[in-house]
Amino acid sequence: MTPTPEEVQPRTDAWLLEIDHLRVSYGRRRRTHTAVDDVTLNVGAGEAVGLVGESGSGKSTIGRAVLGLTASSSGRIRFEDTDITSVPAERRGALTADLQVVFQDPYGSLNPARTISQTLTEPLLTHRAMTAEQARARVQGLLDQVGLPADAANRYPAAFSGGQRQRIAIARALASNPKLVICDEPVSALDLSTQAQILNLLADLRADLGLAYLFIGHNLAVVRNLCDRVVVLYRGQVMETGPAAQVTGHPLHPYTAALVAAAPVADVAAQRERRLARVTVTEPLTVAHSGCPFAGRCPHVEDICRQQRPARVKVGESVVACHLFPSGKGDSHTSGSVDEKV
Amino acid sequence: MGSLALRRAAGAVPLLLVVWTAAFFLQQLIHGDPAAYVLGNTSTAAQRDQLDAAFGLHRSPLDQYLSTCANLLSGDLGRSWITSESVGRLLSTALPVTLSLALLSTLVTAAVGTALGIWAALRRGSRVDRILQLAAGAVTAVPNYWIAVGLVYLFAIQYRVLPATGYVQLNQSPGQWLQSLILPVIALSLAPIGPIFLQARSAVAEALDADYVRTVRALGIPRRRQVLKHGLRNAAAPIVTAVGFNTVGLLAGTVAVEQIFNLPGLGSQLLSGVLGHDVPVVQGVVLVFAVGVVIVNLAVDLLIGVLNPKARRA
Repeated sequence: MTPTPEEVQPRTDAWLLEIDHLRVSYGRRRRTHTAVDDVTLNVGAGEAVGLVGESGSGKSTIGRAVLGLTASSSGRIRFEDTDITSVPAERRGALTADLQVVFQDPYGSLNPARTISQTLTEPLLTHRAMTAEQARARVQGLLDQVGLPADAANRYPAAFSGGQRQRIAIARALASNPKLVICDEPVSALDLSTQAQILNLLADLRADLGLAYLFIGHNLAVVRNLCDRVVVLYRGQVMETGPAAQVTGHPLHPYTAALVAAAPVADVAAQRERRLARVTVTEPLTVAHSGCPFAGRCPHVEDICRQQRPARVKVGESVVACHLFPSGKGDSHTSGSVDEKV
Repeated sequence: MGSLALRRAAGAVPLLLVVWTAAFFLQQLIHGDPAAYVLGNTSTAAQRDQLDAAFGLHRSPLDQYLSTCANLLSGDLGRSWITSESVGRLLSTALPVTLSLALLSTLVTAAVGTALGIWAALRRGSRVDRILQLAAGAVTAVPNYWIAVGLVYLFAIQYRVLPATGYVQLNQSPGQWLQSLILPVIALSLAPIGPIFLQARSAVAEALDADYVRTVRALGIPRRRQVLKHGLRNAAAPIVTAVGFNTVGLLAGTVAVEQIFNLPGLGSQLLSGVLGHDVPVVQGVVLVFAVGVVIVNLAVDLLIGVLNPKARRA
């Protein structure tokens, strides 16, 4: 494979997390399923990047690969200039202190047999070599930071609601003072009013602590509010990348447009308008072809979509992979083949 | 937790009464005249009548039963019809033998079964795992007396490293005590290791698959700690239950194993009691076994309460 322009381009920015042409496949030989297909994305220090897509789009797999819970098939993952592509979580040592995670299910992610204090001190005692006394003080600080009462420390997870448990999970992630927190659908299991509280908490913590987030979600509205940039994923491939307001407000890729339209709005007339942008299935999803993964559901599908995988094209501040935006054509001064990492 | 123990002990009283009653009346179903068994074929009718009078056998079974109950309440288990020895004394000499055997076997089955279970759970789908699962099925299917005879042949007759029969009390010589129990314990433990291993394997595997273990993995907690603190801790309840269940089975297994290794335990007493129509001895041994089962089940419940904070409150 000859190097593409983006591979030979010298790196100008120091990214916190760099994911380069990542591919993750499950299964063996003919029964292989590629969950993540040639995904390139970066997260800068203090930046919040949203990773959106429907179920099965590979967004959680990317998170798992970054965390070292799933082996990648090819590509590279770098964290602070350390190659962590093939380092499983157990062998990451001190690095895990900088790279923490909040998972989706607050009921499953806390050990029911351990008190909150035990759960919170575990990463402290492992990564920070604290004394028990220091750890106890830190636990109180963490509980305060995530808005839980100090007496929560000696109780078991069963005593808390879903939202409170997610606060505990967030406190655990913060315990080792990480630089990047992978948020794997942290609010999807919560009811709406609780979602808002947890999202506000995440936004506040980011402002206070200068955290970077890789926020995995399927709800565009949630991602828009919390994130600087959004990466839209479909069947393992990046469809569109750009500033959060741009991607959610003025989607370029037909899939992003469909995703935006899928979230209902309160205005009846506006909702009718949006419904027109909905996808129509033109062929079964199981049909595999070498072209655009969205071709089977795209309202603008043409022959070329089924034959050729669209190149990534820079349009304004966004980058989109769609034949509607051919490289070299379209908006003359902003469009062109992507030769920089986004 | 103390109140739970008290409640369970009180609940066990009717159970023990049922066992005591069944042990008496099942003996009544056995054909023939007890005195004839005791005195042998050459006895005269007068001798048998005399014995019947001594044992109170001329009374109706209900009367006999009620008087055993009355004696039980005053702490008297009666006397053996054959040796005239007090059943209480008989049990107190036989109990330590069976207790040693059962406790050691429980420790061995729990330790070996759990260790192998963890080992296999960490290597699910591997060849080692498949072989262990196959072996677990195999050892479970082999009867303990068959293993016992094989062990005696191999270690006592071929290699002469361990005694084939006999028992040495713990306070006489701990070393010899252990030597006299090694083969019986292995014979008794091998079969229950199978189900305990399978239970431990699946419980640990399930616990390691849980979201919170994935989370602590991602947080960089060392593997050893993941397995022991998070995996085993939450897998412990089903393992403890399996161990308790199999300990009850062990008690039954002692009957055959004690016979083969000629250990003077409860099982031997029970067998000779049944064969000799010795109703008071059978009743006494069955009662002790029933108390043992109640204690094992209570211990399992208390342990699960310790392991699971949720069950503790109930």
